[in-house]
Amino acid sequence: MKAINFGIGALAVLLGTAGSAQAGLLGVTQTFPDVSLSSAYLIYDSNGIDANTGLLRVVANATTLNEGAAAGNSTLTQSYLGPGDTAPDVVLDFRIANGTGSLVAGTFVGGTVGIGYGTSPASVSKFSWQGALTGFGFQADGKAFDATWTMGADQYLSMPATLSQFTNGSFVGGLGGIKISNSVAFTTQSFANDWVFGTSAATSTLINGYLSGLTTPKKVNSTVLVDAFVAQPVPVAPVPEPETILLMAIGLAAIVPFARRREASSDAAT
Amino acid sequence: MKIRKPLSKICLALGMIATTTLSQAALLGVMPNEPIVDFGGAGIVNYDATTGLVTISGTPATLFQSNPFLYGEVLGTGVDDEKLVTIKLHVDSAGHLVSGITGPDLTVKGSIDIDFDGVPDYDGILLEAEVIAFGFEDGVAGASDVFDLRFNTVAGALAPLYNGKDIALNVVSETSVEFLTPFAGGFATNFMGQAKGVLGATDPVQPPSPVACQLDVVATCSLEDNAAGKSKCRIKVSKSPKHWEHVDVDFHGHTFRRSEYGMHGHQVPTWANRYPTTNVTFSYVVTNTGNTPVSNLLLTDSFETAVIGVPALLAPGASVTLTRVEKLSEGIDNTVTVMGEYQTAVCADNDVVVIKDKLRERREHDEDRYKDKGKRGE
Repeated sequence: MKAINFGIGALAVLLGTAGSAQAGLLGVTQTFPDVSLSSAYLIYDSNGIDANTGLLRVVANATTLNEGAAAGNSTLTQSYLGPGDTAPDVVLDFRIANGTGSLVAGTFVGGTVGIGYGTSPASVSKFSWQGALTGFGFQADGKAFDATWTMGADQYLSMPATLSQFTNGSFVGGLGGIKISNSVAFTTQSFANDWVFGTSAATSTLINGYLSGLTTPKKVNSTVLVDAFVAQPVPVAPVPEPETILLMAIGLAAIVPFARRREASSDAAT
Repeated sequence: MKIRKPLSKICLALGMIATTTLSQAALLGVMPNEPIVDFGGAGIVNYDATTGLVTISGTPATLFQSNPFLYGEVLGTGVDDEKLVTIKLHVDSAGHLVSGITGPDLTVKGSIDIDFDGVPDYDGILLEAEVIAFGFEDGVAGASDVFDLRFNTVAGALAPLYNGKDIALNVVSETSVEFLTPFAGGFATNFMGQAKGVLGATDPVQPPSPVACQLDVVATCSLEDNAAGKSKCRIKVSKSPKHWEHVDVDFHGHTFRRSEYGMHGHQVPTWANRYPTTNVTFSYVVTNTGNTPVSNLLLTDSFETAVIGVPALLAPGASVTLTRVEKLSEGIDNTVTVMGEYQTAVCADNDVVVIKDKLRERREHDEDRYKDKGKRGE
């Protein structure tokens, strides 16, 4: 693996190109904080949105908020399973043109990140990240996918002291990434047919609730590892309001004649 | 370390369109099956080229099995509130597994409540195992690096869930702004990268079938041409100057002793001509009954001279029939031994064909050994 690091300037430019990915990864670089998905499944319905648009859903049993990789950093796991609930939750959904794999442009661009609160009581620590996808890439063999997104809302409940820096809205507007690895390659799968990848995908009945719209999906046992991450939002320089600009123009107009007179009197003195 | 990082370091790199191939294919291809334990993106894979030590560590998140349903978050242990996955093994500069470490190579520590009653059902060392295989694949152009490992000798509180199984571990190491010296495909220099993974059950590796070959020999005798071979023939016994001696035989380093019937260098005395002999035809059918070819065939019987026509190689299922004719005037047990090789394996078989005196009534001066002459109709 080669480390990839781009400056903010490059980031800004490159963000503008996202959203029309063909086969090929975007090359997103992981950072922290990071949310890892447990027991994730990739469930793709080639006409899940309409005849031309498929829906790739990533469901998971749990999500874990990772503060960082350094010693002493904390993690927080929240479950979507519990007493009487054995079905994983949808965490990510991608809308994909079923002919090319590119994101569908339109009123709903790309899909959503929806990392919801866990099923545990309110007194238990939990977190929620919600956002919109802005870019999507994938290896043609189906073994890797990546995406970009923007944090729309982040909320935290009863966070432990070790994660007290996570407060509501800390990352709103932050640019994020998603990485998905899938250990088994596509064979006959494409964005034009239906498929499921994940541990025991071929036999598990716990995901049946997500399969009803699929047409004879190809179920493949594989290891699917997913995480979503976000950076602190980039501080934006304040933009002058129109009234301010007008006042500045008037002030400048008043100063210029005064400066010219000073210049003329100075020349006369010499 | 908290999450406030210099802005220049937390940029998300986008737009580099990656190729769709991965550069190196040295993965084992093992897949973790349920029950699985996962650890998230805060894990680390570290390699020290000086010691050849690979260390993978992370924080376990959940235990999961779909059928029968089994699920629980991994929490800290009751003793020290720690939850941890650690894997340690030694590799050489080419990435080949050299050994594990002293003590368990895989350790999963934590506590799990699977019935949601708030009381841990498993607590302490959840899993321990010994590494037996290691694979890796270097990702290029933005793709993640992948490692996979196989463990056996599973112990710990969760071991009954893995009864009779090995453990497979898949680890993915992503390009990360936190790690500037990730795995680059080689083990000649240090590296450190991000890691997340899943471990689970996998069928144990079947031990390689022992290299083997298989031979069969059937020895018969007959007294007339074209007569059916028998395992026992009867001749008129008189007197013979031949006798038995032990002879050591070497077969490609394997030595065995056999009894050999003949003159052993002595002249045939003139008196021997006064005693009648019977021509006995011995037939040896050697068959390769295995599924591997057998080479370096050796066939010995109880006579001094070599059997003619022994082939060097016998294909699976093939047979060869060898014959010899001996003039006999006393009863003998002719022991026939066939040996052969396939690679490092040696195979052998033997059979005995008996030549006895013709059936007759016991005489007054018969020695005791003639008591076994049997009776007519035998």
